[in-house]
Amino acid sequence: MNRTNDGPVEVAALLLFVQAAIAVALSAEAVGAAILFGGASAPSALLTVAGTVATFVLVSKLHKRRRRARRWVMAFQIGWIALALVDLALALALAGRGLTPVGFFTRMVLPSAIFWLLRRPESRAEFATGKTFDTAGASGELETVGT
Amino acid sequence: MNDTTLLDRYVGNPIYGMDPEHGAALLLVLAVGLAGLLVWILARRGHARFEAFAARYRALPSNYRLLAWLLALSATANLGMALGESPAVVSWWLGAVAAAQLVSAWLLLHDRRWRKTTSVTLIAALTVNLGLAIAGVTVDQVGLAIALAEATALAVVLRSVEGGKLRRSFATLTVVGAIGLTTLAGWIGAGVAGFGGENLGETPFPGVLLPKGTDRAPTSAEQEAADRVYAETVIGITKYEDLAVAAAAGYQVDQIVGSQYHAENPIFKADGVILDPERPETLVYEPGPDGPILLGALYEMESIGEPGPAFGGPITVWHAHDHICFSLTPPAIAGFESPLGACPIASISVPITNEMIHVWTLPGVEDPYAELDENWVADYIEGTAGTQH
Repeated sequence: MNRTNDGPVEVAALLLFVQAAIAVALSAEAVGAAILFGGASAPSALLTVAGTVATFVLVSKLHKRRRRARRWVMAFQIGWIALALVDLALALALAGRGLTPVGFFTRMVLPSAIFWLLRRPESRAEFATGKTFDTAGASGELETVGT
Repeated sequence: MNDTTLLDRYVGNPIYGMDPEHGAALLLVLAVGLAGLLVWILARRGHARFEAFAARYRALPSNYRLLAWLLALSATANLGMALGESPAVVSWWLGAVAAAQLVSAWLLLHDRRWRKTTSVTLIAALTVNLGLAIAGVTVDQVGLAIALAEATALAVVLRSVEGGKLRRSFATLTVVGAIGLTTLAGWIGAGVAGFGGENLGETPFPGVLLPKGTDRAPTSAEQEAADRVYAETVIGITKYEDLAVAAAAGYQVDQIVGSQYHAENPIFKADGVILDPERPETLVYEPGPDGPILLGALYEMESIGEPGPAFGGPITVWHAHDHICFSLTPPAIAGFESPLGACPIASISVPITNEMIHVWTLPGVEDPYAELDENWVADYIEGTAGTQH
């Protein structure tokens, strides 16, 4: 078995992709809510759609080992965690509860894992060398179908 | 028994909670973590069998190690769910999924032909989840967490293969579809569980909290009180059919959009008076062809956790809201918190609100304290409504 699916950046890119897929579902919900509840929530829905597109772009850039992408993804994750902390503080203060278990994973664990994986020295080194997923695939390092 | 937290006083939709019957799933997930730790310790101490197992695991690329964990955790959680689930066919299905996931993990660790088995197992599990939700099987946070783990596992399987743009696009669409299905299953499950739930002892819709209690027939005194408050409200708020009057009184009626628009009055919300038919905290309007139509009033308590006066007993059940998304750009309701635990960007999740009760004053409404049927309102606006059913 070869090892192109290996390394913290690849795991981070995969988790970011899952985050993007979750954001698609959130976008659909936000657009539905904007239609149901009226125009006032439309800016929020538009921001969610824009955030989703940006996340998919970042997944691609991360595969290509763009240095800026790594920084943007890390900043993005800090934003996610900060918003989750605001909701957590509100939930604790007003209702005496935490986030929902799934919310805890999608909004705290997932962003923290992506941030931690990209912050590791191996990840930093990979972005410094500029190794790309695409070139790895071209050189046959990717898994072949049917394994 | 004394309530320990504020939320213990309410019943919410299971989509945001955990079904006690799914507790076994959590215990088994914990057991998998401990088993992993045990294998690691025994391998380090030189037990040949465990060393070989650990060596196989370490030989996997990191994405596949994640996959092995996701499969093991999903399998055990599904097994735990199977133990507490009814009807039996659901238990058998979850047991079969668990077995297939364990086989997939074993094939992965032994570098056998694991990809197809794993893909088929995960796609089948995620698709059937939707059917189970439609059939009325409780969808809670445990079930959603398992589905999310399965979708993540599917992402590992599908995105780790060589291929052109078409294959990658297919992989992307499948994973996005899998998470979309999970979300849809969550909403359908929530809707099925909370369909029509507005009386004591019933499960409410997502985003609604009902006080705990059991339904009963109202006493004649309660019926009289409910009728009196309704009649007084009809008389008290008729003047607000004129938006200029409502605006002059402080109601926020300058931009009435969407269905059942709630126009708040910040002054009346903080005046210390509850159930004043001349000064309800909020008015509810529906946009109509000739301008907004007044649907009724919403009375609201002034602080969170303060129970509303149940003047009409079981007829007048106050409710609160939870997991409501509130947009900050501009301030507005932005929907309900997703089963996946998040709100749209630039909005916060309101964990709980004050208690409130609607009084629908539109002529012909069958029950002024019950949920208002939107189709009936639409018919009313078109001038074709009879008595609400």
